[in-house]
Order: sequence, then C-alpha cells, then structure tokens
Amino acid sequence: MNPLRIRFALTLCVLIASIAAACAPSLPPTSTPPSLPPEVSPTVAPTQMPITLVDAAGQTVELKGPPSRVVLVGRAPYMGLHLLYLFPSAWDKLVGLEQKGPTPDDFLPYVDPNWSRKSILAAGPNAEQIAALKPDLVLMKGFLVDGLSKTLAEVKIPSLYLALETPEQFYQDVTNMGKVLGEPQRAEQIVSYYQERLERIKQRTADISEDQKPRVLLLEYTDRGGSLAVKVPARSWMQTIEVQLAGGHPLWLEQATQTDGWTVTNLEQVALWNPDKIFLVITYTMNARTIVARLKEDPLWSKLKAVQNNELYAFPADLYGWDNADPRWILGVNWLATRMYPERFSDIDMNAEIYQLFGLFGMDKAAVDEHIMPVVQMDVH
Amino acid sequence: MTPIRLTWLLMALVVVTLAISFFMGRYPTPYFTSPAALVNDLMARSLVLNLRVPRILTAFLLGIVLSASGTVFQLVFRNPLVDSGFLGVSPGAAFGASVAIVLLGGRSATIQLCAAGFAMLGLLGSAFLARQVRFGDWTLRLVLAGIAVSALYTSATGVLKYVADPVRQLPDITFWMLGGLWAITWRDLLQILPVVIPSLIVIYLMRWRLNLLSMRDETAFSLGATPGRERFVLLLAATASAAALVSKCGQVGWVGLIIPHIARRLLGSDARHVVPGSMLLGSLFVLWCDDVARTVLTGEIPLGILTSFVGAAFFLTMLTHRRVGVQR
Repeated sequence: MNPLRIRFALTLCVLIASIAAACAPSLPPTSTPPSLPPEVSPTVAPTQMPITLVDAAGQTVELKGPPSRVVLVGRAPYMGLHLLYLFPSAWDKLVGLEQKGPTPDDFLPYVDPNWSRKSILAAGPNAEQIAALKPDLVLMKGFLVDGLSKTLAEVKIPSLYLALETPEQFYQDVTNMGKVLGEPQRAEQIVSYYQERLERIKQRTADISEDQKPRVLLLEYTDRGGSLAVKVPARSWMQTIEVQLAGGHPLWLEQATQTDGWTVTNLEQVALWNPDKIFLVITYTMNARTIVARLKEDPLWSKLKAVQNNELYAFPADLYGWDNADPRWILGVNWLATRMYPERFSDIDMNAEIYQLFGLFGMDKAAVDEHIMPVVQMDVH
Repeated sequence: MTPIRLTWLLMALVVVTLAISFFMGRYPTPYFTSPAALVNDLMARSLVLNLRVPRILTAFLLGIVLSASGTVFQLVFRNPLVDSGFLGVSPGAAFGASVAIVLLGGRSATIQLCAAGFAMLGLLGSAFLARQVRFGDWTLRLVLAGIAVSALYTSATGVLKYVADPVRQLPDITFWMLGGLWAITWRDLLQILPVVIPSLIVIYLMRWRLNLLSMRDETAFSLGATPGRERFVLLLAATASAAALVSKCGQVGWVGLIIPHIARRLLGSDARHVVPGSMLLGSLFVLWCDDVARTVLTGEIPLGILTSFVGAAFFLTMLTHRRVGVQR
C-alpha cells in the first residue's frame, strides 16, 4: 500500500477511535441498593383507555393504555428520572435513558435494585436508536427534542414532554405521570406532600410585608472556563421561585432576565445590593466549605453586610443540588425558610424533612443514613 | 482513466452506497437491517420508509450541495481555501439558530427559519457591503465584505453563547452547530427541494462557464462572459442551496473545502468535470459519514464532527505528502 494511504488510514483510525471513546457511555455504577419498602409498592389503579392528556409542551398525547416500556431522553435527564422514580410502578417500566454526564445518574443506584439493567443511550439518540429499545412511551425534556418528537411521531412512538422548571410545571408533570402510569392517587399524594409544606411556609410568613422581608441574593458561583464568575438566576427559574416561596425578597429581579438563564453579575453590583443574606449555589466541582471560607476572608466580600453577619451560606446539596427543579426543590424551600426566619421555623427539623422526601423514593432511614446523609451539605456558612 | 469514465465509476459507487445505506441502522439489531425484517417487522419498515430514506436522501443532497457550492466558491474567488461559509452563510445560520434557541424558545421550526433567514441575510449583506467598497475588483470587494459579515455574525453568536444558560441552552447551540440529520423527515426534505434542485441545475448547467469566470475580469469579458452577473448568479445558487440545507442540518464542516480538492486531483482542473465529480464525491463522503454517525453508537455522533475529523485527516495527509507542493 502506498505511504499516502497508510498515513491517511492511520490518522483516520486514531480520530475515529477518539470519537468513539468520547461518545461511548460508561456503565452505570453498581451498588447494593436497599430493598423496596412496602409503603411504596406499586398500586396501579385501573386506567381508562385510551389515556389522553396535555403535556408540558401543550401537545395532546394519546396512549392506548399505560406504557410498559418507557425511555427517557433530553437535557438534564436526572430531573425527569427522579420525578419518574417517585412512582414505584415506573421503576420496572423504565427500560432506557440517555446519558449526558459521566454516569447515567449518581442517586438512583441507591434506590432501584435493578438500576444497572437499564439500557443506556449515548448522548443525542435519534428515533431509530430509541426505537431499538422498543418503547411505548418516550419522556423528554429540552429545546431540540421537538425535532426528535417529530421523528418519533413518524414511527408512531408517543412522546411526552416534561417541563420541570417551576412548581406549577412540576405539579403538572407529576399529575401527567400519575395519569400515564395509572397511579393518579400517588400523584395526588406527591402533590399534597409538596403543597402542605409550601402552605406551612405561606401561613407563617403571611403577616410579613414586602419591605420587612430579608433582602436576599442567590448567586451561582462557578469557575467555568477557568475564571470565576458570580451569576444570578432567571426570573422564572426555580432558584428565584424558591427564594420567593420561602419568604425572601430576591434583590436581583431587576437585573434578571425572564428566561435566559444565569446572568453574570459582578462584585460592584453585589456591593450595591448589599444583601441581608447571600446564598451561593456552588458548582459541584468546587469545595463549598473552601469557597465560603475564602470569601469570608476576602477583603472585598468581608465588607458586605451578609458576610459580616455570618449570613453567607452555601446552598445545600446531597448528591444533587436542592436549588434545581429536581424533586429536592422542596427541601431547598424549607431550608431557605429556616435560614431566613429561624424563629418562625424553629420546629422544622431538616433531617426529618430529608428522611421524608427520600422516603418518597422508597428509601428507608437506614438507606438514607448510609447513602444520603453522609453527602448532605446543609450548614456550610 | 478518463474523467468521464471516472465520473461514471463514482456514480456507480454512489448508487451502491445509497443501496447499502438503506440497510444500515440500529433497528432491529445494531448495524444492519435484514431485508426479512423489512418484510416482517412493521416498526423496521416504518423506520426505514419514514426516517431512514429521507435522511439518506438528505445526506446525499447535503454532500452534493456543499461540495458543489465549495467548488463554485473556490473557482469564482480563485482561492482554494474558501467554501460556502465564506460569505457569511454558515456564521449567519449559526447566529440564526442561536437567536432561536436563546431568545425565541428553540422550537425546531423557529431554528430552521432563523438559520435560513440569517444565512441569506449574510449573502445579501456581503453583496451590499461589497457595493459600498470603493477599491479593488468585484471579487476582492466581495471577499472583504464576506470576511466582515462573517466576523460580525461570529461575534454576535459569541455574545449569545455567553448569555445562554449553560445547562439548558448552550448544549443545544453546541449540538446544532455540530450538525446532524437526526431530525430529518420527508417534510423537511420536501421543504428544501424547491431551493436546492433549481440551484443545482443552475450550477450544473453553468459549470463550463466556471472555467471562464475563474479568470481575471478582463480575460473573462474578452472571452464573451459577463463576469459580474454570471458570478452573482452562481454564487446565489451556491449560497441559497447551502443555506437551505444548513438550516435543516446544522453546520457540517470541511465538505465544501476538501471535496473540491480531491475532485481536482482525480479529474483535473476543468470545471466541466470537476463540478459533477465534486458533487458525486461529496455525496459519497457525507453518506459514509452519516452511516457511521447513526449506526456505530447508541447515540448520534454529530455529523459535523465526523466530516471535520475525516476532512482534517485528509487535509493533513495532503499537506505532508511529498508529491503535493506549490509551483512558483
């Protein structure tokens, strides 16, 4: 073979191997998960056929019956996955999911004994790759997935959008999942769990006028691209809503955009706001304790009222942050309320709240103690 | 082998590749769909007829259009390092898609509309700017205007990427920019045909004029051509067809750059042979890359990544090969 061809072939092989290595999903972590407690055993109610509902994208979805094989794809798949796992009957029905990060999920191996059997699709699967798992329902979330939804419709595979951005959307998604899975009572139970907690906060903060509310700043603290940045969340995002639901006054609303995500701000603006309390959402690649300690010693940050009053907190997280539109968001709201109004919420035991929330996933106290409590970061300030 | 025989051989290769591609995929088993499955498995038949066939035909067209327009650009601008992205088309499409994702909700129809609109605006902006420049011939002015418009689009896209949500929007922008045919249906294919087919006919019929238009204005004019008008018609056809496809498929790089080079090496410098040869080679290249993109893994490999990798590998090989050199 001539040298030109050999060289081309070698270069090509190296490049294709690199692509394959980069794109191929890794296997999900294996663990010894706890057994399923009896209180979350599937209790599927008889479902009216066909099932018709309106999903988060406003499309009418019609299913011939409850699905038996569900695939989940799209952006931030953990949010939809964790919502799905609030329904015990869904555990066996989930046959595959798209993997976005280094692992399919960091949490569910501790919940589902059969988690390792789920098929993992590499990022950005097309309709044919999804069809290979023979699903009768595809759950999806994200901007570009409507292209996928369109191609799935061509081959008669129904798809259902999840929004999971605000509490209202969360309730709608839970209700839709209840209808689809034939577990409407379970959906009501989940929605009640969330609404009861929000109602408690609402009642106890009802007499506080807007100007009496603590002036709060919630910032994302990241080192993306090698440089540090502080950002405020969009007006309609769960982080902003959590602060409002907990009875705080979000100072950044004037600067925040409606939908464009995190908006970069700077210390000059932070100093101008000079908030009563600062909550930092610290990216998982950074150590929250180190960051908070460093900021307290920083000559500029230390002049802020919140830092001087020891009101600079890292936003809590376990395996996932409590600020996201994951089912954990209710823990975030509760925790914020206890930090903003400690005297009014002194009876709230956050550890008990954690056990109760993870109980919804079927985790008993021992499992939570083993897998969740050791990684909870709740009092970093 | 004569250029005509080689063209026939390439045509045969394209037909074989098309036929094989229809049987390559992930369903019902990875890599290959047996003819028996097409008969017995309703889902397999539906996948092939409704998704695989339009996708493969779009890949075929994408290769033809990108390489044909790359050939036109390289000959008209007398520059072997340009392609259809040169007059702000690809940067315009990228900007349009980013606008749709960040500001307009990111539905696929909005993305396609914005991408096509801003891509064409890139061409029109370049042409308008070129008219305002007071020095140099038409080609030089268009080159300079194209560089300026592309730079404007690129910086504006940078701003959108900067403000985009890193979790929700940035991955979508990145994924779109890497290109892919995963969302193509018959409807998408039919939507681009009214632009693509007439454009390709224009390029094919005017291919022999490219030999004249690749000369200096004075020479081309003395040989009976009207360089300004003819170049504009060819560039419009090349850009419009590329914009239509890029709006559906995202940015698929290096096809328009590297394929015309290969065509010239195989078929000589006569545009009458290079244009059809380039079209056939381009379709082969994109078909092969798309077969890999949709078949090898359980998720799509973005097509633009594959075409760029293979294109860059070929380019490096060409650069370092002893027999390739510059004559002074």
